[in-house]
Amino acid sequence: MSDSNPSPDSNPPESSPGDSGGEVLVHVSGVSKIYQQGTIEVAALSEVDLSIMRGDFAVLAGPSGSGKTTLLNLIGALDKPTGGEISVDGQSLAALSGRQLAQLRLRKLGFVFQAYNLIPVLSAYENAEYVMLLQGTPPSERRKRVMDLLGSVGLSGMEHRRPAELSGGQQQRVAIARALAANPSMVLADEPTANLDSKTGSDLTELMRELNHERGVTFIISSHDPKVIERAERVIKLEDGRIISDERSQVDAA
Amino acid sequence: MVSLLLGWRSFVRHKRRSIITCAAISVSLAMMIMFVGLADDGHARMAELGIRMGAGHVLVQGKGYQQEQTLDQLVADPDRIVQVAKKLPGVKNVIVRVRSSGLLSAGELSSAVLMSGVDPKVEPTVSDIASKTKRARGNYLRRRADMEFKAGPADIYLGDELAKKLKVDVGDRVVLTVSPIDSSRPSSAAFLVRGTFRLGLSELDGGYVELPISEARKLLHMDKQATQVAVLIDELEGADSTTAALQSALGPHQELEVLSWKVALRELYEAIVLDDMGLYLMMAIIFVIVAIGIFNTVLMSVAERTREFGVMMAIGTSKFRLLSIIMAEATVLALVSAVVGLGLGLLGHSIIADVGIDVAALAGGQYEFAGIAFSEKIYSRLSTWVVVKWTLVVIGIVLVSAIYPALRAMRLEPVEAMRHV
Repeated sequence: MSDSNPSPDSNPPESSPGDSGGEVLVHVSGVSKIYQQGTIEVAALSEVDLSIMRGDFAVLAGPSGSGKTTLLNLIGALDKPTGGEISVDGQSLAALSGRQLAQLRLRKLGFVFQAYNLIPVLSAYENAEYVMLLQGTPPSERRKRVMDLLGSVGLSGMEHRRPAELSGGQQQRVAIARALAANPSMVLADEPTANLDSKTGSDLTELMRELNHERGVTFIISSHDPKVIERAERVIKLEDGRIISDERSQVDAA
Repeated sequence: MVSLLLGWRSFVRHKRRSIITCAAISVSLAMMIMFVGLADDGHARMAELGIRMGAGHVLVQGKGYQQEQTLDQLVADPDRIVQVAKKLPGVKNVIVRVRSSGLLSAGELSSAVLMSGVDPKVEPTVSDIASKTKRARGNYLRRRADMEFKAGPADIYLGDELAKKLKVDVGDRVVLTVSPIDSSRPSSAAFLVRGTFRLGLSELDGGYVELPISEARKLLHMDKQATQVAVLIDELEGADSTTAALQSALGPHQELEVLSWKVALRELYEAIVLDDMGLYLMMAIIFVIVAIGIFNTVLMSVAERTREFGVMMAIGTSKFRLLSIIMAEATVLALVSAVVGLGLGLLGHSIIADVGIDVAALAGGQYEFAGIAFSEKIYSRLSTWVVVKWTLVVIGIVLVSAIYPALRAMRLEPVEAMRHV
């Protein structure tokens, strides 16, 4: 089922629409995820094939329950698929141990969550610094990079505030700074604007686009926010655990 | 290092919880230090008191004397033992004594007594009984050479209750009768009451007398023998090592037994050991309560932060790192508490060591421990090792209590943990 035989339906396995001819960063093939709810099995994802290119700014769109977050968690090695295979940067996730998966998340992936999920006891500065501490980055470089990142997400002067002392939008900016601090190949953002007002949401989307353009970081964002979707270069629509469309469009950098 | 930094940050940020837990741990450690200091001092004082009441840190006696307490077990050559013992390190004084039971009478009245022949010059410096502080009436014994009427009766010094029982006062004449070593016929001599003592202990106050050793030997038909050679040393703690040293210095000896005060005053020593065990039991209970408290706190704090740990794992914290962060936090808690507890405990110790606690007053005037009337104040004494030991115990308990919660946190799965509210 998952071999080279190209299926005629709308799940293009290898050649994404408007393929920029780049390198494949994430390869998802025949992935299913079934949750057990009591005695009932619920299929969150069924037979999904998808390739994400390096430098993509892709949005996984679809109503709630369509499988966006599940797919994002699987790509982010936070969860294991029931079937199929996922590789990130050429590494098959199924072949990695728990420790190696943690290393992969630490070195190659950045995460932004819907609920911000900053570490409450740490300041904005310390939150952004955290992954670099784990990576063993030397102190001088840590400081330079954290200040640079907090500056580029517009939080200069708020370094020492705790999450509780920041607005939702500001917290999400810290989360983005934290995600980028590790110098990841890819940032996975799960509904990053869902808890923000539309102005703040738009600003945040713009920020991510800029970072995508300027730093070449790949973004995969799950969202049903039209403002986010309209800024995406690539929109992958999900419904009932399947990809129903995958389109690239030209979006002018604002 | 990173774990320690993160553990420290977490410790500092969860202020209230950290302060409460820290306070519980450090107060327990401080109490412990003070209790141990008090108990150790009290016990040492009781032991010294027992030793000063006519015993010694180390005793040399004829083999079997400790059991039999008869004149069949004598030290044949006490002078040699004195010479050997005086050369040992830490030895302050070596005293030769002659002891026997006897009958003291005055007119129609008489009473069974324990008599002790002592050196009138040395005894007041080593024995409480002979010291001025316990004197009820009169003075202490004189050597015959120091007396005006060298041919008359020698001095005797007795318990005040005994004097009352016999209706005698200072200057009165009494007769002491004993069984000498070489005959079954009793031997008696007259003595002049020179003074009386009161220890607050009926056994001694009502039945103990002292007389010059020369008179005792004469009465018992002894030559230069003695029943006991008592060795007094600088430090109570050195009793065991001095016992061993004296034993080997004297060489293998069929007729002698060398005993530390722990054996010679077994009743007292066992009471001290029992009291120590009671203290340890109490501390064990305190520690169990503290350990449950810490365990609960760490467990709660881990449960509370399930989501936080989920996020930490999601962004690349390995399970092992998470474990080490939680353990680092416990380490910070343990160290801070240990420092605070040590500070409080040593402060309390220095105050008690300075001011002292009047146990007898607290007990309503009289405090008796293992047959010894205790009227002194108790201070606090601590050795470095004792302080280090209990501090390490407290740190150990904190770390052990954190292991289970930390292992539980390790078992979390990031996605589920992040869903946790």
